[in-house]
Amino acid sequence: MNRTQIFSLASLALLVASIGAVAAMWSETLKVNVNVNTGEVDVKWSNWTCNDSGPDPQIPNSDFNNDEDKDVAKCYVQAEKYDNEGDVIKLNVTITNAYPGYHAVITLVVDNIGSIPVKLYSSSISEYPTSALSVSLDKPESTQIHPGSNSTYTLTIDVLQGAGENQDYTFEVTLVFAQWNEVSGD
Amino acid sequence: MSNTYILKPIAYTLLIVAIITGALAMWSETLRINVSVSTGELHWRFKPGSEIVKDECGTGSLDWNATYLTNGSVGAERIDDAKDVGCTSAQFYDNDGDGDLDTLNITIHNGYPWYYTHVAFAVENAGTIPLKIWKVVIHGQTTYEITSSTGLRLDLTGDGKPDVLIWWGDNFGKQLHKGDYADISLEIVVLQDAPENANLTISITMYAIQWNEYDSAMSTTPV
Repeated sequence: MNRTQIFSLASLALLVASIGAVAAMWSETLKVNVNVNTGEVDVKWSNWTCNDSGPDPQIPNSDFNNDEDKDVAKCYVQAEKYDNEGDVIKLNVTITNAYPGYHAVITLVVDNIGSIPVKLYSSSISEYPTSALSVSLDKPESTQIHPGSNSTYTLTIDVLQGAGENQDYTFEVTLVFAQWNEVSGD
Repeated sequence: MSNTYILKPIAYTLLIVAIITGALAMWSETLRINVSVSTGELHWRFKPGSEIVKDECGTGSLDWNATYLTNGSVGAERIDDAKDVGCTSAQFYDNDGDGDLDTLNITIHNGYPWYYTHVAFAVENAGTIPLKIWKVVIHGQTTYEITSSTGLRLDLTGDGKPDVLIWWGDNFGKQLHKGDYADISLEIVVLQDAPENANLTISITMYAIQWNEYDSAMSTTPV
């Protein structure tokens, strides 16, 4: 065995000794398992009514009157579309045989069925003939809905003198609810 | 061209895309309402076949003459020695071609002072909204009621003297529901100042209004 071989063997032995020392070093390991369960932003229409359940309501503070309690026009509100969980996400309001002076107020209840507080992010009413109809959406003072709670909106539809006879007017109302911390204000 | 000019727009574009993506990713839930409003129709017409004429042409009936025009009514009778001189015809027409009778033409043939005629007809609600008989415009005079004590004296020739007198059965304000009808009648008397050999035309227009506007419409004209 020459000197070179002896030197190589010595180096190898030193390396093995170093590794053994490291492996034998006292140590303790701490671990953190992270599990993030996300919540859900989920709302639904839970209740809906129309104020015309008998005699036709007339535009308040106007020259129209229905002192005779006639029931000429009809107002229907029903579920139109459900999501995959069976929750109502779209309603259909149908008013028939309407005439100038007719005043429909549809009361709508939104339930927060998710686990995250929500606020109304945006609302819109699609285009409709303003000479024929007056439409307004009344929102609650605070639009925030906590999980398990609900909020009430009212949609008011007045038929004006400019409405044509035997006409069909359609429009769509959209309400977008988002998690509370992404919507500024109430 | 330096790299700055190329990189800056790319950086801005990426920033905008990132912002939009962030907004779209916001958790949200949308609720919708479809609204459909269908209006009804206010529509009335003369009831077919309802016209009744007291001295109808072609029947050979003897003339009626007015006997008095005071005390709140008009009196008429077949006077002694009554003759078949004048006569009255009444015919409905569909003037606007919508299939409903909207015009009643009344013609007095060979009329003369004190000639009296009586025409009755019915109007019916052919729409879907209750209506009330609102007003009538007779030869340009609008009236919401005709009191039984006066009638309407009409100067048809413009000479300042009345030529005919009309009495109108007071159905103003009468309410007609869908399919209901009401009888209306009018009486016409040719007066002393009517010209001879003249064709005198009286234009009468009747208006109905939806029931829930009637009270206010008595004093205002709706759009």
